[in-house]
Amino acid sequence: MRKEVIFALILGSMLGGVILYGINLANKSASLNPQPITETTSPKTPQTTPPITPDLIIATPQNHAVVFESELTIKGSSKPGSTIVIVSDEDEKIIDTDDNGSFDTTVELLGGENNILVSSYLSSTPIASASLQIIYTSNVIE
Amino acid sequence: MIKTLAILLSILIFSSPVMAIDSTSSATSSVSDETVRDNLENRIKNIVKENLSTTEALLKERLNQISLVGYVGQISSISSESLTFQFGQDTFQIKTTDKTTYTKNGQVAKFTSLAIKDRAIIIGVITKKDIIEAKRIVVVKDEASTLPTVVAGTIVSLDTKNRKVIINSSGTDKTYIISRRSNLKLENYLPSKSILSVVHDQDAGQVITIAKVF
Repeated sequence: MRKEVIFALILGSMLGGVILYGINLANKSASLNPQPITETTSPKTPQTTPPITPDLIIATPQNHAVVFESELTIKGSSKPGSTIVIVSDEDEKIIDTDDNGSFDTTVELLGGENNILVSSYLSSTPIASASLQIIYTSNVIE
Repeated sequence: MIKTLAILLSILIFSSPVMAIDSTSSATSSVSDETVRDNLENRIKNIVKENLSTTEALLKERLNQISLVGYVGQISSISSESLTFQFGQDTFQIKTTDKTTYTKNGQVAKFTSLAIKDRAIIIGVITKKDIIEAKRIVVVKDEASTLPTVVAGTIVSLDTKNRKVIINSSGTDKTYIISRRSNLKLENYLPSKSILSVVHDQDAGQVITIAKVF
């Protein structure tokens, strides 16, 4: 009788261990998968590569991107010390690039079509420019 | 008795959970233990499967949103269930499906309500080169947007009273009005300084809304 009790206790502990291991395994596999979502938030469709000139690169957004928020982040790079002028149907910005020539700003969007012109200048001398057409919609597209 | 206990304890200490899952590892396992293990394995498999399905669906949704493209142009021809769309110099073939939604004059419409020369926003996915599978087609007013212009040049003179500045750009002097709503400081507008400005065409003339003086 005692033997059976002890055996049952040991077997119970082993089963508990197995359950814990299983739950851990399940949690790990579940928590590993969602990570790529944040990595894939930047549009990467090859057909919609943004206009790239050697002196002005628009890293994000892609040209012809469809966005779901009224505030659009524009990131890119040009020559160090250059000034970036961004004009759109709704907003306008004049910003300086950092020491590496990178820039990062936000512009307000209108619902529907948004044409954005990004131009780079060294003092008042034009370097390069790029046009973007962005569609803003607040409705989810299935 | 003590010997048996010691053997059992050493099994417990040195056996890994993976070994415990193995149905052949324990000679003493009974049918009910195997059932419990099977149930447990099935439960774990189900949990993993459910999580994977949820994640897969989430990823699919996100990927769909990311791969969406939007073009604004003119419908140049219409045939059954598809249309040709002119965007600048480029021509796209637009395929429609049962799930494609249409909006015209701000109201829900049908494929048949689309007309040649309609200006439309096409939201969809590029399936092949120059072919877009449309998710949504929105007919919009035929009004081309006019962006403000960027004027870069050198300040020639400033009329502080009338808030007017003459800028020499590409060898031509032109007068611009400095907007009152902007936070531009007139004392910065010194002659011979370089200037970058955003200019809007308004009834009063060409108005500078933002500028940077170097």
